[in-house]
Amino acid sequence: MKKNWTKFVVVALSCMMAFMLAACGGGGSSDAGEAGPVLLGNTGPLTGPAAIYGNAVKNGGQLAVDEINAANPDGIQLAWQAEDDEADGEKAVNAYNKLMDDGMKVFIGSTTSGSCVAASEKAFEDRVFELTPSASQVAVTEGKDNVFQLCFSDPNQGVAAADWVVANMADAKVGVIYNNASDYSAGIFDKFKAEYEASGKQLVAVEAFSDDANTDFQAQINAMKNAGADFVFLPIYYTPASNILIQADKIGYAPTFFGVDGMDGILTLEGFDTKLAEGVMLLTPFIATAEDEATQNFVAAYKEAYGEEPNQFAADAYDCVYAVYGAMNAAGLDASASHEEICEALIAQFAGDYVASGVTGAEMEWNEAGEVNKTPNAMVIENGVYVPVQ
Amino acid sequence: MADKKDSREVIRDIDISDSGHAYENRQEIYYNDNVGGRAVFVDSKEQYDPDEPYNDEVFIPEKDRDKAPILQVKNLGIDFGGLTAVDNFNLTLGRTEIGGLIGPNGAGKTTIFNMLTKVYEPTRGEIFFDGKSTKGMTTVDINKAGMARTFQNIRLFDKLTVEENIKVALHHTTNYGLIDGMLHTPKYRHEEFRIRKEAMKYLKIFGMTKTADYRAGSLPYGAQRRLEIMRALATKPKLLLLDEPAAGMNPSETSELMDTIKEIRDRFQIAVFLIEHDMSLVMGICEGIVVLNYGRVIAKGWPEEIQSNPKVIEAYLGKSRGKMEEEEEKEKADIEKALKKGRLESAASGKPDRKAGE
Amino acid sequence: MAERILKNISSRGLKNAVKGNEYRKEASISYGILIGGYILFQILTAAGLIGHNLQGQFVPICVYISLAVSLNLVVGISGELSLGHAGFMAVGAFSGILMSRILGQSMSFEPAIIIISMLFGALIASIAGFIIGIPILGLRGDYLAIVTLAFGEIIRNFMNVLYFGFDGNGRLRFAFNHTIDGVENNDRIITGAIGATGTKTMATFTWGLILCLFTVFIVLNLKNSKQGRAIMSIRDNRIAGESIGLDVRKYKLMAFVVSAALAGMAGCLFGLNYSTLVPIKFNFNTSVLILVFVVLGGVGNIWGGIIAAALLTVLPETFRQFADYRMLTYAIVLILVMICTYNPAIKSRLSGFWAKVNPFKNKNKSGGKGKGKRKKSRKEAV
Repeated sequence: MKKNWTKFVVVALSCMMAFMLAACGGGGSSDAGEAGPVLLGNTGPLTGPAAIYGNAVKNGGQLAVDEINAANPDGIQLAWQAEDDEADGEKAVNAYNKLMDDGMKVFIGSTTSGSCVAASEKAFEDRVFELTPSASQVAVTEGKDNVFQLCFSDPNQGVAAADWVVANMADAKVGVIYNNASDYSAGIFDKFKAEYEASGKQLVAVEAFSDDANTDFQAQINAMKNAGADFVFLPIYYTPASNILIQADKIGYAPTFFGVDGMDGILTLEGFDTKLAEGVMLLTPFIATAEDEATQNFVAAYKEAYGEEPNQFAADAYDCVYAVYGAMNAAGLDASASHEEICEALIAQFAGDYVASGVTGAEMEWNEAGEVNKTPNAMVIENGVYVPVQ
Repeated sequence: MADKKDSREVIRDIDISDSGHAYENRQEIYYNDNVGGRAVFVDSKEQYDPDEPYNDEVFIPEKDRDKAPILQVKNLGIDFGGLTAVDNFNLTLGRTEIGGLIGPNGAGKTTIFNMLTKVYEPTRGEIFFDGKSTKGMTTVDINKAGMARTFQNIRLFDKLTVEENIKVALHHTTNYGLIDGMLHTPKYRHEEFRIRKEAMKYLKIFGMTKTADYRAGSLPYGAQRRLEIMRALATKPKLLLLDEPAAGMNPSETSELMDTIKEIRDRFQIAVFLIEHDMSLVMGICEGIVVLNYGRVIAKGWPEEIQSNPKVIEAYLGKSRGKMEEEEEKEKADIEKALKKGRLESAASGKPDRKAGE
Repeated sequence: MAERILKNISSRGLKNAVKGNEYRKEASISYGILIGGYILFQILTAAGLIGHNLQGQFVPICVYISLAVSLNLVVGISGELSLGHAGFMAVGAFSGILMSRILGQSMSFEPAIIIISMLFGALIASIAGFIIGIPILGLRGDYLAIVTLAFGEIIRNFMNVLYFGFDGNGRLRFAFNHTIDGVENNDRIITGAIGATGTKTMATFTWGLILCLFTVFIVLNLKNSKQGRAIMSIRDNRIAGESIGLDVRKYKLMAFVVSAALAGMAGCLFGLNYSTLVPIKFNFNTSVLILVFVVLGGVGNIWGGIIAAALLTVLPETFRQFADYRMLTYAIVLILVMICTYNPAIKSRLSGFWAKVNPFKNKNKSGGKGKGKRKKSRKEAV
């Protein structure tokens, strides 16, 4: 018995050493003139509570790379690698560095904002072109000429939401429930509040919660009800939002709920009665049920590959790959270009007149600050599907 | 010194706890008035009327009578819940006296120590240490005022070395601050050098210089007891409270300990108050003895009186006396035998009735 | 006679006794690991043998080493379980970042900025430690652990609503909600849950080493001083400590505050290593992670904590090839390592093995000891 133990220890320890050596030894293999496929790297939360976003990006990117490689056997071949960053800045830098060790040429951003800011700092230092599918914070692109966003930045989303409410719901008594421990939620709320109040109106109630307490919303809902809010803005992800819907329904409180892109996914949430989401509105660039051809093709292909309906994150990643690929072709790059060369060429494209089209927007343009310009759609859930607001 | 040792080794080693029940039935009042006015055996209820405190200053040895007593305890009592653990405890201890506190297990001896050192706050009564009331003082204050103690179940700093255990006790005389401690400034070096020498001085008294670098918790039992006394001593007390210092020691060690306690008293001119079950030690060195049972004082007096008074012997040791003597004879024979063989130490430590092995 | 009353304890009597104070040994091993590791990895880096991934981890490794060492002051040396260490790290990180931004306005000499920021982080963290320590150090054991956990979370949640920024005149202002008077949104340094963004990343491996050396220096020196002895005495026996006049709360607080200050310093360097830092980083998980380093390295063992912190920081990265099973693998390896290091049978086997290969066998007695232990354990096994 004891002998077995010892063997086990020895094996375990030697395995550890082997992995460490492997990790150390990865340094020599990076880029410089190799004409293999161009490696696109991504970091995102593949494990943990936000894994659904990370995996969606991973799958969406992979799908686009596979399609491009299959469609253009003679063009630039792409490779796709997604590393886990647990939605943590420190791990994101580690994951980013790992990708650099593996010869990454273009960084398809980190999936979540917090980690993306940390990683994009490195990308800026290393001169690796970065296009993030879903990191929406301003700080992601701020001061970094080679970092671009495919999604709306938080302020733009908050501003867009506020503008939309002011324009379309002029008489509404607006309340907000947001997650003050989430940079995403707090970021949107921040801008929403500023923009909304700039129009001379006041929010009737603002309630916050944190990730540690995202199941019981009685207090927040009652506060909304007592303040007489008939329009509740929820700049939060769909999981806590579903709890709010359930608990509001229980006490018979039925205002119009208005979400942001993080609300997308509520209809596919397991165990959630989608009837409760009837009438919920949201601003989103992507809807899987949209009628246009590009979206339908993407949804069909994604379903076939991964057996589920793509959400917005998958669509963002899918568009990112196509946008980068298109820009590389437009810049006349070939597969042997170094990441620095690719970086400078793509900056010129993205900051210039380059226009990409994809499933999250027909005509996407970027400014020099790295922000995207595309039109958000206001959607309302009717009979369990998204329908554009009339 | 050699013959001293021999004679002491055969002194009775009585564990009073065995015979404590003997006193249970005793209710009669006995007050011995004819031994020079010194009470020997009293009924506590009668004698210690709270309104008229019993004057026991007569118990101070001659040599200390011209000095103020180091410790005066008046009508001390403590209740735990509804239970009265100690009641009407009176004591006066001379400046350089070695006092003894004996009594069966559960009599409240350690409780008294705990009250003196403010581990427990007394419910009633007053304690005057060095002329000052200790009311409101904490254990820490008590120590700073000059009272140090050892514990019945040894409480050393197990993971520190012997030397460090002493150095901790020298804490208040070590003169440097946190910054010096963290940065090891010259001041730190100077002070550490000084207290190391001082610690070694204490270790020398107890013959433990060799053990300086060993962890306190890994020492033999007897050595741990000695270390605990040294540690208490290193805080430079005026009164040293020893809770069963000889527990777990063999007769030769006990005898050495007795000499050491006397030596400590003589050299540092302090008072010692000790709890002990080993009668050889108590009778050998104590100048005054208090006998406690059920939380009350049942007797006070000089050792000879406590020892020789037939009533005391009958009441306190009565029932098991015959048996005791028998054992004593056997023990004597054993030791004599061992002496002949020249292997005193091993025989003595192998005795079956030792409370705790080393 | 006067000098030596009791017979000197014979060597035979000490055959089961254990040598105690190994301060010098502990210090030389700790410093040796740190400096040796630094030189080794600098050489390897210069030779181009180390990839971005490992290079990028040098600073966090140093930070975690420093945190493990400082937590050891509370857990190992003071003997109290603290589950809020990340809270002090957070205080140090954010106050350090703030200071670096303030200094960055007028200064460009990075070493000075780093040093002042780290000292500032340590100062604020020690104040936090002091404020938190006063009410809770009357508690013991599990209760203290739970309360430190709660305080760690309070600190983090406090960060979630804390906003700092420069106004038009370059003056620092703060608020507890999203809009700070007179501060443009773009000039905000710390924005609640979004944390600190736009930090200039100044931390380098060398600074990491300096941090580690400083932390080890302080902790080991403290351990071997009057204050350290008092702290350890109280850990070993509180009542005896009081009986020799040691103020229990004072020394527990001292350990707590020094530990918090060192954690703050480490947190500051951590903050200066990333352009962004979110408060959620300093949640309960991070506190537990640091505690795991301490436990794996051996509670109270400084150099053990150093090695454990370095290995466990690198380990999850080395498991990247397991993709989805990465964290599972990490968890399993962690369990195995814990079992192996704390299984006495295996431990004695390893020490027996060490005795055989130990190159310093003749210089100290550890070889013999190891063999002795081994024999003993075999007997037990039989």
